Amino acid sequence: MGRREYTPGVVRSSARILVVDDTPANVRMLETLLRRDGYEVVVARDGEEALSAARETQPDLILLDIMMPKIDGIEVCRRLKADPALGFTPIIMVTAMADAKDLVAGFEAGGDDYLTKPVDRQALATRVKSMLRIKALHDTVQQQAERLEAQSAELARWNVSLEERVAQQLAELEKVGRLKRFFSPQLAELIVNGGADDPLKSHRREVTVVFLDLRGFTAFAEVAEPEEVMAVLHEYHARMGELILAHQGTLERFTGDGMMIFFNDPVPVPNPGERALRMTVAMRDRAEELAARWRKLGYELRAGIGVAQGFATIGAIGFEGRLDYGAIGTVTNLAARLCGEAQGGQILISQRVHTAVAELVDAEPIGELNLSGFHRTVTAFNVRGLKG
Amino acid sequence: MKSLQERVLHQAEELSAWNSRLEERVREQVAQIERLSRLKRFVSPKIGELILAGDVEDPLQTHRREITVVFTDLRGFTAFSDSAEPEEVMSVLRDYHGTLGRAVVAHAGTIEHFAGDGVMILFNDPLAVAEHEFAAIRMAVDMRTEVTKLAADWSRRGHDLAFGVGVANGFATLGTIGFEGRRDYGAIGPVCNLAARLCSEAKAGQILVSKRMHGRIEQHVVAEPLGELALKGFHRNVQAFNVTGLKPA
Repeated sequence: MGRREYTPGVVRSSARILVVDDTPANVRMLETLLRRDGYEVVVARDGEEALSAARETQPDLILLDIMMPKIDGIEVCRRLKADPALGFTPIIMVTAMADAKDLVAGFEAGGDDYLTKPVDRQALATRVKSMLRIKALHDTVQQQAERLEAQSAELARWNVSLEERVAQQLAELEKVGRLKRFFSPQLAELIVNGGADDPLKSHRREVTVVFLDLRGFTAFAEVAEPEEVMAVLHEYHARMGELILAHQGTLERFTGDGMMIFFNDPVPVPNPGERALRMTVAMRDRAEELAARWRKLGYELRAGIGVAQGFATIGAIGFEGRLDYGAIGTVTNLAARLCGEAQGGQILISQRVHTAVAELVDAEPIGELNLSGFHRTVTAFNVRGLKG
Repeated sequence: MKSLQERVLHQAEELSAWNSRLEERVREQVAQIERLSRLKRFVSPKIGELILAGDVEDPLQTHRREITVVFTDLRGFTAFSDSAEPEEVMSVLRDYHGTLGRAVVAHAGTIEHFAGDGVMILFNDPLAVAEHEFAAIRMAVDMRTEVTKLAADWSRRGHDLAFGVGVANGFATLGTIGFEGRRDYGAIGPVCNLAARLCSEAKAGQILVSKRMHGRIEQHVVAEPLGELALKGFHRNVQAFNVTGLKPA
């Protein structure tokens, strides 16, 4: 016989009651009364039978005679209360007389209530109803707890899978985060956190562009060992890189020993021309220190720098599958050409840059230059240093 | 009865709170990954893969490999970008880069960078390509065919732009260059400069290749010797060939 369904909080007339008594007349009488009230009755004639019937039928209430041969009612009560599956089943002790000693022992063994023989019909109905109400309440709580526990277990399993997912995502983030190092910080920030409006949508802006490369690098790379070439490049990039970051320039690209640096895009900065000039002067000083060291190793490598300023169309160029951040306009070509014209240790700036930073720099005009790709000749200045 | 109920309720509440936090975190991380992944579009696919796998982290962990380098650009672009409206310039560039991009993908090249109208493409690194010299020259010839069609259209709109290519092969040092805060995957070696210089020497519609390159592909191409060129940055004069087309297979 399996466990039955209960409707929480409601005493149903179909509640099952186990009647335990070794006197057949008593059993008959109780059985008759209870059945008349609509209860289902299970009968046990001694202690042993009571224990097995209780386990088997899981009654809602037990009417237990105390005076029985072999295992008496007190002992049966104790054992039933010790059984986790039955501990909450109410027990009404039925005694021949209201013997105080018996009752105390019965209550101590876990009995919930008592009736005296001869059993009064009215008292029986009332006690049974009251005990069944408590039982039903307990069952409701029990069921709710079970349902909650099941839900909790489900939640716990789901949480474990979520935790796994979080860990996987963290690993993925760590991986994807590596890409950031391959972008100028400001640019990475814009691409990653840019809003719905595409930050790399092409726009026009005035920028200052710095081109820098090492005179003699191609010839050096032709004859030097690859390890030497990479060591020189690494040191040069590291030293120049510090200055680029310190002056808030954006390194647009490396081309071997060449570097192209923007000021005022992708993030606008105040005084881009001044920043660019201060950076290039610092770069030249550092590159000259490096050149002196390299000269001792037998390499003739000196930095040449070109700076131009002007409007450019800036944004993502390329195609779906491979985009690049870039600036389109003569300003980038002019900076590159001026860099190409610069002698080792020279910083050549365009007329426009010179106008923007005239107060700041000590510069000499070097006349008109004929530059490849330009229709007209270009006025350029050589920056000797900063004033003051 | 009451304590059982309370204990279970408390446990359920805790689990549910933790569940909400976890779900929130998963949502946040999904968004974060999505945002970071936008960076992928700005690196060539194979290089992106290597970066994600952590294979190109160390700038000193470079390798030597024989590669073919292709440089392309548009003659007349500087003058054009100087005088044309920015929208017009960007539209020309979009068509041009799109056309080149398709050819690069079709021939398994890797774009090293865009420099305005200039594009540098690597073969055999980071993606190994069998007969990379031949793959590179087939790509260059395809590009010339396609860009010539585009140029006819540009010419009707009044823009005088012509395609030029330089190709060289040789050993280079490849890997991560740059500094803390800004890294790049790059190829270092005279082969890169040589391809760039040949590209600037190329006249409209020419594909100039180095002598060594020519030696690798001569059975496949029709080419004319151009004699010796004095190229900026190189000690010695360089022999170059103009590839006019592919031999029928």
